[in-house]
Amino acid sequence: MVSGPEGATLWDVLALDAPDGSRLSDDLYSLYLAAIAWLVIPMYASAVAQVLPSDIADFSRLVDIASALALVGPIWFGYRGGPFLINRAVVLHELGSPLDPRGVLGPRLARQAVAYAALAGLAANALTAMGDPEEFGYRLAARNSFVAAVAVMAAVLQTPGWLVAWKGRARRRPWPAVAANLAATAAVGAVVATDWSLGSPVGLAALAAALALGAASAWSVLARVPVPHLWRRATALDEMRSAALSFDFQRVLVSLRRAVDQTEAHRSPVRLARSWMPRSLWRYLASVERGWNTRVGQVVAGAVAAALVVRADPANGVVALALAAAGMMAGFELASPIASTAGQIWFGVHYPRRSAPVLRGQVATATVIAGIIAAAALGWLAGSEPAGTALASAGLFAFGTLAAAVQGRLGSPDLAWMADKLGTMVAPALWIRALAGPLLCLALTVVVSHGWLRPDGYTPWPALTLAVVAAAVVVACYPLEKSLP
Amino acid sequence: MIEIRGLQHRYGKALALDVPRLSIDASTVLVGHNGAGKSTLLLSLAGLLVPTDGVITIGGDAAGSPGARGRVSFVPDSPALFDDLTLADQMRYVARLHGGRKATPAEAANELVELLDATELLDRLPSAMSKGQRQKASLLVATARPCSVLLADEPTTGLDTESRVALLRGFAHLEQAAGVIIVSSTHDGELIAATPGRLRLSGGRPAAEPDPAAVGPVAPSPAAWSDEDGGSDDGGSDDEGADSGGGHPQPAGAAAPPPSRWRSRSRFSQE
Repeated sequence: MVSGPEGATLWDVLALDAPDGSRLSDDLYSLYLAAIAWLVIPMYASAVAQVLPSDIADFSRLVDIASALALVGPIWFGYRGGPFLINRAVVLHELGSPLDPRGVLGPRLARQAVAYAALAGLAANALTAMGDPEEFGYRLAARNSFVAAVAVMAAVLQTPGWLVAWKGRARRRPWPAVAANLAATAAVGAVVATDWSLGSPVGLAALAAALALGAASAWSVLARVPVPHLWRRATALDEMRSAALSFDFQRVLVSLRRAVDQTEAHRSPVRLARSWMPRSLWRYLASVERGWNTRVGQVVAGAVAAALVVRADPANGVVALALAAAGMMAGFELASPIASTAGQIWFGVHYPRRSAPVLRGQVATATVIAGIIAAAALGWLAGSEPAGTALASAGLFAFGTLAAAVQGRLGSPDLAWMADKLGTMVAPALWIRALAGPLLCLALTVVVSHGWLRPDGYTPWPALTLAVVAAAVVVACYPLEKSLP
Repeated sequence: MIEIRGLQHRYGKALALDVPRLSIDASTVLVGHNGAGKSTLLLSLAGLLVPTDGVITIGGDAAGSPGARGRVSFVPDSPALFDDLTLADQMRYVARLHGGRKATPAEAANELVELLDATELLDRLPSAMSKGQRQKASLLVATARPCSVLLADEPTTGLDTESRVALLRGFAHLEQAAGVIIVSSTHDGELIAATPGRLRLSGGRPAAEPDPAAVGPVAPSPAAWSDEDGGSDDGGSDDEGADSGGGHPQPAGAAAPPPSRWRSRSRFSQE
């Protein structure tokens, strides 16, 4: 049992009046729901599979490769701040106590690992069912779900190691240890991805090794998790909860300060450097700030989308899914800046009051931009063969605009006002907003499968299509907001 | 108790704190304008911010180390409370975190409950408290555990006049009865006047106290203007006393006597 120098044990404290005492029942209920979902999700997935002609082997292989990649995901997760979303009271009182930090953070890490593993298992099950409903069986689904769940669980357990390596301020950071861990994990992932079956001793040993590596890594570094970093993050979360004007979390910094204050924005000296842009349009575009890493991600996603549009074979269900997802992302990003909120935690957006005019303007601006490009695509491609090419371009941006509108409206000050007044009663609305993305992805998948979203390989205009998509990426990634004072 | 050597902190390229040398052995109030570095210094002392450079020791242990954490309790500028525990449960919980299963809140905290007239808050959740009440609760939770240094970032913010007076009594009680060194930041003239030691920060650096003779007449305080009794000086004060030159009692920078106790015990040098 973890204990501190003054004799207080974790059990002493948590067994009596721990603030998180109700979490166990909550977690068990969530796991029960996940089990139910695991059983019924293939039925829905098989319906989607009707429009996704593909070989189940593709999906099975995809699960294995994704699981192997998941094992190196913690590098990025750790860089972005790690898995601990604890509040300031926990940082101040629990991490400020003599208790071993492993006793405070360990249960939270395990909770997250199980939650992510459950999600990974569900996703693997759905993918397996979509691969080929006729060949689908729960035994195969269990195999894929098991691999994905264990891989993701091991990945989450490794996250604190990378968090300490990236964000720790100690003179000696555990770079050699995490690098060795990464190398070992990559080797394990390679074994899992290339040669594994349910009864394979080698595969089972590899998975067990991955899990053990993660657990050992977590245990060795949890005591060194940088408390100042957790405090900074917890403060950002608390500020978000209390309707602060800016929210720095994970990937984006949303600041509507200057958007609210029109006069100051228009006085911006940098605006003169962009004098070609109408003032109102400038203001509506300039309120979302992003980091370079997000931009790299946007460019890569855009490039993938463009490559898929021109080269890939949509008869393959995996390609169709990837195209749909990338297309949705491009649409979101084109409809900047409201679309950019897709980079946030969907249900965590909280706009300040009095920002309604700005948000309305943002939606209008996004719609205009998407409309212009869609109209241009229609005009240029109307004469091409097949006619679906034009529909493809228009549909891509129409869905993006729709997504932007949904995101914009559901994240509006009206909702912020409701959240202030009604608290958790508006949670369903926030979750509807969170579901908007997956629903749109699903819709795009159907559209792709019918060939409405992709010019065929023999289209005379592949270069133009590529240019349109690339323009969308450029528009979405152009660092307008960086210029604001 | 608190020793600072070569402390510097930068936010990006901006220098927020630059304290070459400082020792604090008695209760001290940090004063200065917004952005002077008061909160940055308190966070550094609490081990919640790693300074860009320099060393801070508290009772011989580096700030943020387990030893220092055991000595220091921190009251942040906005309350940090467990959402799903009543105030009484929070005080018990924090006491047990530090003292074990059978620990109870420190005696000083129980007395502070009486002084702050917070008995009715004990059975409430934070969501059922006003802003000022949460501020009181945050202070009570911080004092529920034994500590030798209490750091408080603007502890009087949001408190009504009576609560501010009660808080000052509570601080005095903590200092005298429990021997706690209280380091706080504030703009509250009453707290400044009531605290023996004073450290003025300007641009992140310790600054000399302004010469009282160079300060003009004290202006009427906003509290006095809005007083229902016609602006009498019956205890009304403003929160900006230290910086605006108004308030009652006299603002520290204008007419208060030099903080002899702190100056006799503390020392800092600007290099």
